[in-house]
Order: sequence, then structure tokens, then C-alpha cells
Amino acid sequence: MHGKPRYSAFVPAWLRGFVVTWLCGFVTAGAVAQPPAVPPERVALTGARIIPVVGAPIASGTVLVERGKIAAVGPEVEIPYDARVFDVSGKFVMPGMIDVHTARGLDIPNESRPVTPHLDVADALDPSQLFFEDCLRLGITAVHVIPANNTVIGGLGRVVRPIGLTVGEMTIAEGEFLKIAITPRRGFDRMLQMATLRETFLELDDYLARVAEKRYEDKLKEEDKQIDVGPDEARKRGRDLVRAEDVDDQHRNLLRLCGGQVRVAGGPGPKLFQPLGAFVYCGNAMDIALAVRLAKDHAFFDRTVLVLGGECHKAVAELKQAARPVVLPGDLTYRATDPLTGEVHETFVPKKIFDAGLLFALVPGPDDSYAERMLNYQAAQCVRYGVPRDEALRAITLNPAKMLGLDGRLGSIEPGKDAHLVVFSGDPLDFSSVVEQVFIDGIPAYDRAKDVRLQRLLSPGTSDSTAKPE
Amino acid sequence: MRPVAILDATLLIGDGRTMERGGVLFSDGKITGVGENVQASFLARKIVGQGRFVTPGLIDVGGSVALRFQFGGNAATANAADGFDRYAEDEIRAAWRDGVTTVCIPARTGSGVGGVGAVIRLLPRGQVDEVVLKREVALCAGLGLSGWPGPLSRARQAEDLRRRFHAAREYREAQEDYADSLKEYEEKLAERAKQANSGQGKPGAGGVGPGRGTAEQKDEKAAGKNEKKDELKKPAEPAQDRAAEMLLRVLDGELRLWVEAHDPAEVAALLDLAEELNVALVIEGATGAHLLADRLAGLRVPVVLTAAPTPLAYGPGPERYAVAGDAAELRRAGVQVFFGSGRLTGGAPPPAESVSGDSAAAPRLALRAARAAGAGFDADTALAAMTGSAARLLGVERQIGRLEPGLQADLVVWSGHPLAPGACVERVFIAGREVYHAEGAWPEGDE
Amino acid sequence: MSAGHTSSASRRGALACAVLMLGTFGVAAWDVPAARGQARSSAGRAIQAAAYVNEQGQMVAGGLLLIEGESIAQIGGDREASEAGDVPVDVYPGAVLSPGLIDCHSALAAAGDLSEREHALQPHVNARDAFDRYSHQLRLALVAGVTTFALAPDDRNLVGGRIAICQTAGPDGWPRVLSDAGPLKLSLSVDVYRPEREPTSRSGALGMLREAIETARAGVPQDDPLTAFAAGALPGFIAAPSGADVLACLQLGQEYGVRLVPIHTRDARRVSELASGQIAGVVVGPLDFSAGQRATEAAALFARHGTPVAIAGGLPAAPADSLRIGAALAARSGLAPAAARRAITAAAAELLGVGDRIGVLRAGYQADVVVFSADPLDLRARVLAVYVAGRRVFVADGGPQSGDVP
Repeated sequence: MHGKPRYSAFVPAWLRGFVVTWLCGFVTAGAVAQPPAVPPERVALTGARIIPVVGAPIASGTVLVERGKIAAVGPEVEIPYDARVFDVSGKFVMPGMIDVHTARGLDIPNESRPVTPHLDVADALDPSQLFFEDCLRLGITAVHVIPANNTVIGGLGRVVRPIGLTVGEMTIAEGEFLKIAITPRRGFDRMLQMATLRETFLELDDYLARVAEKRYEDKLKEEDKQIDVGPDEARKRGRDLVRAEDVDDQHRNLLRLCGGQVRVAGGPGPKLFQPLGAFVYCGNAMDIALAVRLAKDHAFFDRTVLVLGGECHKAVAELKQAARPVVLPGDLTYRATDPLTGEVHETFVPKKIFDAGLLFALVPGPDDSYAERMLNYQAAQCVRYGVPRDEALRAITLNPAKMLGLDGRLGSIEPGKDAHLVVFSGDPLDFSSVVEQVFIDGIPAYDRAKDVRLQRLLSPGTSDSTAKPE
Repeated sequence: MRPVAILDATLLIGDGRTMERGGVLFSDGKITGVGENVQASFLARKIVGQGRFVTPGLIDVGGSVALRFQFGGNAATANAADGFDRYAEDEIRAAWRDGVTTVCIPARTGSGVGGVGAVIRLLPRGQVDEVVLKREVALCAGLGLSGWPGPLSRARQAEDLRRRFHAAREYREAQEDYADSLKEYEEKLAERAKQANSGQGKPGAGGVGPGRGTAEQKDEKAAGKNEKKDELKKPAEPAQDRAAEMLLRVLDGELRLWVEAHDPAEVAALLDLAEELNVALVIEGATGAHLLADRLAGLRVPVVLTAAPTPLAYGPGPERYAVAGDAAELRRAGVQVFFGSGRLTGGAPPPAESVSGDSAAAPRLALRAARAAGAGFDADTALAAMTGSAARLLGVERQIGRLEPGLQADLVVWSGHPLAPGACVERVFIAGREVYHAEGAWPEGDE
Repeated sequence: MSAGHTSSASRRGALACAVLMLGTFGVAAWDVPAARGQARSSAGRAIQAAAYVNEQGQMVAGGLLLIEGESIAQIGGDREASEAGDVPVDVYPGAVLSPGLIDCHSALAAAGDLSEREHALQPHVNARDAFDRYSHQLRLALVAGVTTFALAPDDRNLVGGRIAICQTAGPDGWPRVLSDAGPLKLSLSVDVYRPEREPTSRSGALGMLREAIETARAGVPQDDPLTAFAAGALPGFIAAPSGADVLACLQLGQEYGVRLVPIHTRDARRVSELASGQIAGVVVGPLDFSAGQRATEAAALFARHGTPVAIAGGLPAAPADSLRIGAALAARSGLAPAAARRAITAAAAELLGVGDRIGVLRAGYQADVVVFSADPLDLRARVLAVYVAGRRVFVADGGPQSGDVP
């Protein structure tokens, strides 16, 4: 393989032309990071066995895409004359899968400072990483990239498509979630981790009080008046004067996490920002209670997604009570050795979580496990161990979309949603099925037949050193 | 929940008293009746305890059961309750097998201030109720244990501890000064506002002098403004220091100072410090503290006997374990003595071989107390030191520690006297729920 | 020296280690060798208590013990039945007589290190040469009732040398070597592996051991501990902490007929049944309060399948009463009380090869007796007196009641 993955190695030539068109559009638009212009094209996938995730499967039907959105789905859909038709007869079409929690795609998963709510993965995303290419190959069309778990408060994540030359092109939605870790980062113990978290939020309160006070004083100064009240009163009076631009980078996201509303001296001030949610990493069962308490204390509980470690299923009672969405560990089977008898007890985590009635999402396993990297394989494992098929499919499509607040755009094949479609050669939950084509916003983003790197891997007798691309 | 009645057993009440052939009733997690003639409701599950002993659940004063990732947090605002893993079943089960239902976990540290200790109830998993019985028991510090994370030398460690308290006092003085000058400042502000209002009748002006007037007036105003500017400078608020605030709570007597020390010289240094600062001290470990028994008694400093962790930074080795006699001697001098399991992983003499993966260590409180009793410690006092007195030390005596109506139904059924050889824990109830039942324990006398 | 404990005022400044030690045990008075006033002890003496620990480890009533010279003349029965009318009697009302406690693997009174770094095979070493009879550790052990201990090379050599059986006191009052012909010490512990020498793995260790045994067998018979061991004449104490180590011992025993006693074993879950009848015994421990359940249950599991069990004390790194702590822990984890008492006396003596001289209270055996205030397994019991080779070498404050009154 090449040292550096090259986008051009497998993207079809006509699409590259398309990307260039996009880029021109950006230049004129002032290179602002915005979703790419919608392609003026109609695409129809015909003869497909459709798994819409919402609604019953369709044995043979058509998905019609207009301007990047799904326009119609059904057994009988009229195909416009100018539609580019892909005959996928006998193949399975399902919504693009969503990797709801990963730090892949970043150069370094975590900043070494413990508290970094002001950071944004947008600054570190590398569109040229092989990871994104692999996502396409595996049928993943949306990736929530977020700082990894070795942190106290990491930065903002971002939902991206695995195609595009810039972060702006890739972006589906800007960060709506901060990363918080309850499991201690390296060099911290749990007590210190929690103390640091508590102190961070206390410091935010102190900071906002000072900002309010300063705002009041500044206002007096503007009006050429003298200060007439002590700091406590000034803070109360200044509370409503705080503007969005008064809050510095270091505190803005924390404030958003706490709801975006300035609270000083016990009273509510103006709501300055849209609130942020949090992906809270709980590596051990004991962390769940700590996470719930923290989130409730700081008013982001309703926007919390719990990212679970292997052992967390033990806290299923607490999870059930919290009733927050959970991201399951990549290793779906938890193994524990009884220290007395030496017996190994296995727990299939998704079944237990499903039985508890929780909204859950699956994530790919570690890089070095070939099968577990495939979300459809993860879902198939769930079915094998007793999770209903529909629920297993939702756990890799619609559920992650819901967690990210993007269920209006992603996660199912319904009219009006973004046309993120994956064409499988057979049933996605059959391990011998392969991803044949991927459409992102209606653009044919991947075609197995044109996947140069894969062909090279699969064709005997050639090696990377001798073969030249194209 | 169905009420439970344990009848016809020897009750060790927890305050040193023994009741032969008594019964305990409990329902809904609370003890409802204790006595020789308790009447069990016909609905109750009846357990006949002929020859058995019933004690309150033992309290490990200074343990480390199910404490996770203890590096020595080194932050005064850290809390040991955050480190407790209620899902560490192996360790919790080992504690139950030993009759321990509550553990006080200090936020230990090698040196410096480690955080605040907490009292934890070893409730079974699967319940979402609160395991933290008391979140803040004592501020914990270490002296002479290791050079990590603080300074290496003991002299420096002691001095640092002293300085931190002095710095906290200075912080308070600065806060008080600030409060005073703030009050003065606010009074002056109010006065100025009043003057401005009454003098000029210009409410909007907010204390600013008359806008236009004669040159004389202008001069006056300028002079006055300068003067006022000088005198009405807003006092600078000292930066918040939450660690210092925690230390101040110790100085105010709200929290005890809990220090692990394993050398009589360290204990002496701590007593000096406690006298100097006038703080309520608890000494954990306290190897060799009997040499200072009279002083400890005079200062009313309780002592929690735990084994020294190995390897220690310095000092003699085997003598540190020859502590069986300490408890009795301390007690004779009038010192309050408690038993703790200490750092279970660190308190052992290094085994000749290293085998990882053994099941969790149990607190072995009853055996520790029996050993002390062998050296002359009164057995009833030893039992109280693991139950009623321990609860009082930790300030949870209204919830646990005795067999008494109204208290939590945390209790243990033993096959014999808890200190006797071969006596084992047959049943453990926490909050009225049976959490442990020994294999082969006698069948229930459900009548 | 004994002034250190008399008043608390003088204690306050006395921080020296020796004083600390005496502060703890200072209530005891010492029968030092210089005090030869008890010359009659060798002529005959009787000890009267309420009960004694018999050869099976059970506590039985009737604790009259007659001493003739260095040996026990008679045990059990009541005083009238005996011929002891005219000998002095030490009376301990309500007390229990136990054989002197035996730590079957310790580094007590060792001068310097008990391991070698250069070579993993050190069969010619004899731990007797490391015995320091002036070590203060001996007194700490003695007052806790330990009369005999096996001074053993430590676990860091594959073959560490010969174990010496030593006593914390002797007929003249001074500590002594009872026998320098103890078992050979071997080890399969991970401590054997060192990066700079062989072996560095378990398979390497077993390979070296097999090679050594085969070489010793093929060679000219000589008075070499390894040859004797290879021929099955000399038992070997082999550090085998894990179950896998015990399995390796069983395998070696089957292959070569060598007599191995696994020691420091902390895990019996899968091997206790296999070991049944295959080995002379097993040494568990040292056990202390922080030992896990698996380690404390090992003794009970081996005993359940008929393997004699001894418990090591791990002196001097462990507290002086660690033998009794170990026995009490094992008893709470399922070992029968009688077996627990034997585990720190008779069983240890038998495994060390001195079971015909010490370890039980039987006529003709060396008079090593500990007087406990109650069952030795009960940690509440105190040591009231210690006799070694018929001589009273320790007596707690108060001492026995006047000996001459019937």
C-alpha cells in the first residue's frame, strides 16, 4: 500500500471532475466551510431489495434521488427521463451506516491538556486519511469524529461524510457534542478526574460572574457614570448585559454545554448560545452514576449520550433509570474471569442493553479486527445473539442519527432525507455480502468495481511496489 | 419487602453489650425490634439462630475495599467516594464474607493532601440506591509513606503540611480583609449615591457632580472626583482557592484531619502539628504509636490501626509488623483504638513469590481484633471499635453501628463468637436484604 | 535495656528500634543463659495446664507434661497418676500446651542474602552457614511461640541449596542449628528468571532441572545433595506458587521419582485432587490478613484430598505471630482445626524430616512446648511460656504459679 492514501486512487474520474466543480463553487463563495452545492442530478436505483429501516422492506423497488435528497421510495416509482439509472436488481439497498463515535480521522486523538472544551476536531481532521476511504468501502457514510477518551473535557466533535477534499466539504453537521471522560485519563485517578471536572464547572461560574460585573461597569463607563453598587449587585445587574461576544473561547463551549444561558448570582440571564450536548465516556460500570450526577448537576443530562466501556453492562439498572442513549463498546462480548473459580463468564452486551429498552448504537471494533470493523457485521452478531433484526439494523443507522440529532436527515430511506445509500451484493447481515456501491447525497461515491486499491489487494500476483495506479 | 426475624441468637449490640438469647426484627431496611422477647409477625421470614451470634455489620475504619485507580489524587477537593467501584463484586463479596458492610475509605496519598475520605455502604449491585453514607468524613494527608506525589523527605513533608494550613489561614485573612474593605466600599458607594440624590436631585447622574457651573465649582468637582477616585477604588477580590477552603474546614473543626503515618516519630510530629493548629486529628496506621500513648490520650486523638504498606520509603522493616501489643497499650492509656484493613494490596509483607490474579483480599477485621485481644485488648471494646464506636467516630451513628430499632438493618449472623477461631460469617444483611449466604449454612427455620 | 518499657515518661523519647521492640514485648522477662539457677531443669520438671494439643492436633483435657533432661517423659493424664511427686511443677491454670511452633520456610536470623545471582544451580550451598545466632529477630519469634524454623535459601535460584533446621533457643538457652541435613531447596517461582542468566522461562527452568537431575543420576555417586535428591533419597522443597507449578512438580515426581514438596502454593483449585497421594505434603503460605480467598482456601483444598499441609510463616518479613495468623486464616477458610494446629507443628516437622524428634507432644520427643492461654488457633490466646529442649526460655509477666505446691 502507499504510504499516503490517495483520494484519486479510487474515486471515479467523473466524480473527480465533480469535486473540482465543487471547489470552484467554494472559491466563489469565499471558501467558507459549507455543505457542498447540491448536484443537479436525479439518480434512480431500480430493482433493489430495499431495507428502509423505517417501514417494511421492499422486495423490489426503486429509490429516486433528486438534488441529493431521497425523493421517492417504493415498488412503483416513476423514473424521470433525465434520471441517471443504476440497475441494482437483486441487490440490497440500505441507508448509509453511521459511525457514531470515533477519534479516527484525527492526527492525534487527544490534546495532552486535560480540559480543552474550546477545541474543535475540525482543526485536526485529515481528509486524506485512509480511514475515510475505508469507511466508504465498508458502507459508512457518516462519521461522528470526536476527541478520544484520554481527556477530562475534550473538544467539539463533528459529523462528516467520508468524502471531500476539505473539512468543509466533508461536514454534514458542525459539532453539537463535547467529549467528557469520567474514566480517568492517563496519570489521573478517578478522584482527581472528578475533582477536575467539578472545579472546571465552578470556575465557569466564577468566570461568568466576573464577566457580568465587568459588563455592568463597562456600561456605566459608557454612560459616563460612576460605579454605584458593590460587586455582588453589579453582577446581578450585569447579568442581562452579557453578550455572546463577551464570553471567551475557553468558556464558550462550557457555557453552551450547560445550556447556553448565563446564570449569575442564582438567577438566569440571557440565553446566548444554542446548547451543546456531551458524549460522556464511561469506561467502567462505576462511572455511570458519576456521569449521571455530573450531567444533572450541570444541566446537560438531556443532551447526554453515554459512551460505554465493556464492563458497563453491569450497571444496567442505573442505565435503565437514566434512560439516555448509549454507544456500546466495539467488543460486543464482555468476558470476565471469576477470580475464585477461574471460570470465564461471557456477556453479550447488546442483548442486555436491548432488553433494558435503551436506545443504543453500535460502533466498529478496533482497527486490527477485520470483521468487527464492519458495522453490518456488528449488527449481524446482535441478531445471532437474540437482538431482533430490525433493532440491530437501527443500531447502525437510525439510532446513531437520533443520538446526533440528525434523524431528520440520516438513518433511513425516507423521502426528504439525505440520499446516503449503500448497495450490498446480498443481505447486509450476511457476512458474504459486500458493499458494491455507496451513494452520498445522491453522488455515487464508491464503486467496488472501480476500487483500485481493493482490486490490487484481491488480484493475485501483483504487489504494491510493482503495480502503478491506473 | 417481607419482614425478617432472627430469633434465639446471641446479640452483640455494638456498644459493648451482649444479649444472650435475643431476637432482631427488621423490615423495609430498618431494624424494628431488638430484645429478649421480640414478637415476630406471622408474615415474617424467621431465622432461628441457636448458638449463632448476631452483630451489626462491621465497619472497616480505614479500608480500601473496591477503591479504583488510587494513585494518590493529590487534590484537596478530591473525594474518595468518586473512587469507589460498587461493581467490584469480588472485593465487595470478600468483605461481606468477612462481615464487613461499611467501609470508611480515606483519600490516601503518599505525601501531601490526598482529598476527602468518605463512608461507603457495601450495597449489592443492581440497586440504584446511594452507596455513599457520608461523603465528607475527614481531609486525608500522608506523612512519611512515600515521596510521591509530594516531597521526598519527611521533614519537608511535615513542613509542607504545616505551611498549607498556614497558607489557608492567610487565605482566610485575605478573604476577611476583602470582605471588610468591600463593606466599606459599598457603604461609601451608598453614601455617595445618597449625597448625589439629595444634593443635586439628579437621579440619573449616579453620583456625578453638577454638570456645568462656575470655574470654582468645576475645580471643586475635579478635586472631589480625584479624591473619590482614590478612596473608592474597588477592592481586589482574592482568587478563589477551593483547596484552601477545604483546609479551613479542618481548622474550623468541621472536618477531621486524617493522616496515615507508620512511625512513632511521625506520630509525634503530627501531634505537634495538631496542637499547633488546633485541629482534630485521626492517625491511621500508627505503628509504634503506643510509645506516645499518653500524649495521644491527652489530646484525644483516635488511632486506626492498619498495617504498614510495603515497601516503605525508609525505616525498619519487620518491627513495623510487631504491632499486636500496640492496641492494648494504647487502650490502657485511654486512647480510642479502631481497626482498619488499610491498603489491602499494600499492607502485606512481600510474599517470597509473586502470583498475580488471586481473588480479592478480605478486610479480616475480626481476626485483626482477635489478635489485638490476644495482646490484652478487651474483646468487647474491640467489637465496639468495629461497630458502634466506629460509627460514632465517623459520624454515622444515627444510621448504622448498633442493633437498635430505627437504625439501618445492616447485620451479620456468625456461626460463633466473631473473634473465636473458626467462626465464620453465615449471613449478611444490608438494608434488610440478604446479600450473602455462606454455602452449607444451616437451613432456614421458616416456621 | 529493659528500662525502656517501665514508664511511659521514659518511653516518650525512646524511638530507637530496639526499644520499640522491647516496648512491645518488654512485658516478658527472659531466662537468659547466664541465669543458671534452674539447674534442676535438666534433672526433671513438670508443666501443668488444663489441656494439650495431641498428636492428631486435637485439644484434649489433662495437660500434665513431664520433662526429663531435654525430652518429654510423659504427656497427659493427671498428676496423681504420674511419678512426678518430687519434681518442680510449673502450673498454668486454664492454659493449653502446644508443641513448639515450626516455621517450615523462613529467612529468620539469616546473615545477608539467601540467594546467589550468578548461577541458578547452587546445590552445595547450605543455609546453616548463614545462621546468625545473635540476631534479635530470634527473640521476636521465640516469644510468639516459634521454637523451630527452617532457614531456607530463598526462591530466586532454581536449586538454592540445603535447608537448615534451626531453633530459636537450645538446651543452653542459645539459639542453635538443630539439623543441617534438611531438604534441598528448589524453586519454580518467577523470581528464578533473570535476564542475565538462565533460565528465563518456566520451560527453561524445567529443562535445566531435568538436565541437572539426569547429570546427577548418570554421574559417580557422591555425597552431593543433588545426587541424593535425584536418587529420591533427599526430599526437595520447591517453590511452586501457582497451580501450574504444582503440576510441574507432580510431573517431575512421576518422571524421576524425586520427592518434591511444593511450597508457597497459593492456588489449589485444579491441582489438589491430582496431588492426592502423589506428594508427601504441601506448604502453603505465608498467609497474612491481606491474602486473598484463593490462597487461604488452598490449605483446606489440599487437606480435603488427603495431602498433609503445613503453613509457612514467612518470618522475618511477616509479623512474629504470622504462623498463628496463617493457621487461623486457613481454619476460617475451611481447614479443620486439628489440621490447622498440625500445619504449624507436626506436619511441618514431618515435611522437614525431623518429625521423629520434634513437632508433637510425645514421650521421647524433644521437650519444645508453648503454653498458650487458650487454643493456639484463637488469636486471642497469649503465649504464657515457651520451653525449648526442656528449658523454660520465656515466661510472660506473672509466670506460672508456684511450682512446688501440688
